Amino acid sequence: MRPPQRQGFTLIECILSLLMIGILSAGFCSLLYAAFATSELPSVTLNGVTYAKTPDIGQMNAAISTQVLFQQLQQNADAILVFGGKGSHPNLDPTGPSSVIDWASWPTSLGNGPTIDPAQQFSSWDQRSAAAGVLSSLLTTAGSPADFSVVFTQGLNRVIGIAKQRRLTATLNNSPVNCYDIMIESFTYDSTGAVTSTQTEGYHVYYPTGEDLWRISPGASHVWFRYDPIWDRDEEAGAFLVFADPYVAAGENPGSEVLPVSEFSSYVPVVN
Amino acid sequence: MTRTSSYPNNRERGMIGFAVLLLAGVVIMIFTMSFFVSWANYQSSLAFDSYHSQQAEMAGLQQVVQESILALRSTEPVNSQNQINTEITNRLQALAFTPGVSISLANATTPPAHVFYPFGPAATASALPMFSSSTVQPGIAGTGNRALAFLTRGPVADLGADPAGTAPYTYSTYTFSRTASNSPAENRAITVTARLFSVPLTNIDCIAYGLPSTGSVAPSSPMIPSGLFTNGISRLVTTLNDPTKDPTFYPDLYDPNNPSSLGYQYENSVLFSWDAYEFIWGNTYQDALLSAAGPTGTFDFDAPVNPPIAGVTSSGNSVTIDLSSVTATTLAVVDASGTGRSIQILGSATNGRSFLLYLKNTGSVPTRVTLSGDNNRPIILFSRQCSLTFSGAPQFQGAIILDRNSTATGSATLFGHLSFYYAANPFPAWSLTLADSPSVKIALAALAPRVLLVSTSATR
Repeated sequence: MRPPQRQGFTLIECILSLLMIGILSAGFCSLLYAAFATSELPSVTLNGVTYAKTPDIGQMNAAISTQVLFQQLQQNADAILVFGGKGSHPNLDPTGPSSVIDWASWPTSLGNGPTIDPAQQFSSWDQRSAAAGVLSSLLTTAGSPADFSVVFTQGLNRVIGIAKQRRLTATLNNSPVNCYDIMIESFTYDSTGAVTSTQTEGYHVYYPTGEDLWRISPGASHVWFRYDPIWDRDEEAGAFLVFADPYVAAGENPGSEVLPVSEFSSYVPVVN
Repeated sequence: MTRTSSYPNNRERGMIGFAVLLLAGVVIMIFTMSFFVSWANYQSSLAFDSYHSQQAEMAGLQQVVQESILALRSTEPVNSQNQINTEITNRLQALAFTPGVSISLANATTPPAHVFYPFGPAATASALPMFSSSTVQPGIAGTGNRALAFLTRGPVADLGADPAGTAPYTYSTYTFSRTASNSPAENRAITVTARLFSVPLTNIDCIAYGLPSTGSVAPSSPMIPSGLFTNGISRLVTTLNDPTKDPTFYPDLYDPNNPSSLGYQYENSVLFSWDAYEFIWGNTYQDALLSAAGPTGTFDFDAPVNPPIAGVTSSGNSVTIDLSSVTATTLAVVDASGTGRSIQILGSATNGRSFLLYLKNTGSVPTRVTLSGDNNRPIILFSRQCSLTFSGAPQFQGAIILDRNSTATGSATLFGHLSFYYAANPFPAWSLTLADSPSVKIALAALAPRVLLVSTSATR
């Protein structure tokens, strides 16, 4: 009687089949990466902060939480002062990048007390002199055109929140990357005017240099009605803000005719 | 016999099948991962967009409530006689929402009346703390700088506050029902609360006003002498946003197809510097002033006989008003022709109860008015077609409100308020020093024409 015919694979066959599967899988992976760009990529640590490579769903969720807090502050603010970006003054600083609040500083007061003129809060520029006692020591040269600071104020001098964006440049595997920090802090006060709690939101992402060249570049762009100091009408209408987008627009070809935009773009008026 | 067929045998078929199965599994896994990551991002973006659009809806409802209250209560030439819910519903119908979303008014409260002199006693000034957790008098921080810029200039009555300072604050509350047919989870109630403030016009130190209905509005701010506006002097003019006419205006937001448009942030400025003066120089207010003066407080040059009026003496075509002796709350001097007639106003050296002086000329020639002597008794002077001359550089406490046909010359220091029609700029012919005076503003508040400011907030 003949022994039963062998049905299993030989070692060579198994190795060949696994090799073939590996090659095919790698091809699919790179195809899918190109198509969807959702694969996990290495993060970058810079100055103790970890930046996720965009696209990143975790940072996307953090970005949404950040924007929700931003909108809540916008709704509750009496005035919204924007520092940084271009056009902070139509004549004196039309191109910028203008100075921003130092990254490490999160003031809770503009410091001028009851003497501040609410009409002057129609202009972030005028606040540089009206609240110079506080701001002059906090404003610093912007590191990039993408940097800006947004100060939400209530009453004549109380700061209820500050949002900041800054861009840092680093090198990863001999390739330059742009790292974005977006942080926002809101302050809650008690009846005596003391801060009782602070809420912090933010996200940190990086892009290979060139991938953040969107239709509207990250940063702040001030829009002006008029500058008429004689009649106290230094009227900055508001500012168009573009925050770094951790997901939607990353990886697009900046050479394309149709450029993507950040989902987190908004216009904020100077006065509510 | 050896099989020579090129077809794979069972063993080879099994190996290929296994490989294909593994490959399919890997592909499905990657596709599934990609799908879920993309789906998660899509859902996150969708939720954020929905939140964002609902914020915009709430802002729109705030504006609807504000405009509806103003339609009923502001000092516009003609106020609506509708109920507040009709006004709100009419405005809601003009709004376009996201497809599938509808918003209707569920509940509305009637806003408090806005009464001021001479139609009735004006509401008394409120404390208006900037920050307060009190349920009786909440702080005004958070009402927005478009309102704060006017609320911090002088005495203001918060119409939701109990004058006695004991009852809880009364917000005007409006509840809306939001229905999303394609997302029932997004159905919700939105509540808009409104705070109403009655602000004396005289709280602003200087207003160059426009008359959009009966005249025109300033294309650019009027020229004023250097040094008139020193630190602490509040001033207001509202011009059109047209860079071709206003050299101070930048074209950033200019719409050449709609050059007269003004952004909504100018609403309160328009109320103060346009609408209020249409009301002041309109028949309703003018007739009310004459009615308040009454027969015993009105001197008419053309009347056969005038009653004796405290502080007023006449001789032929000349009338002298001694401000220290006037006892009426409203004193009117009517001159139907103006030719050859004059009024002498003598300031009061002593302080006293404020009153309202209405000089009305309806003829073709302005009445000549001379003001002399320091005046320490705050008055509100309405000048309708009069030529004012300040003699002896008096220091004058009060408000001077000039109509489009009035002029002013001479030299004076004014502690209080000045209004003039932008096209009848009294400068530089008038050598005036303007000084901010909180005490004069307080003294004038009870009799001053007022503007209603509405501040709204929305919650869901």
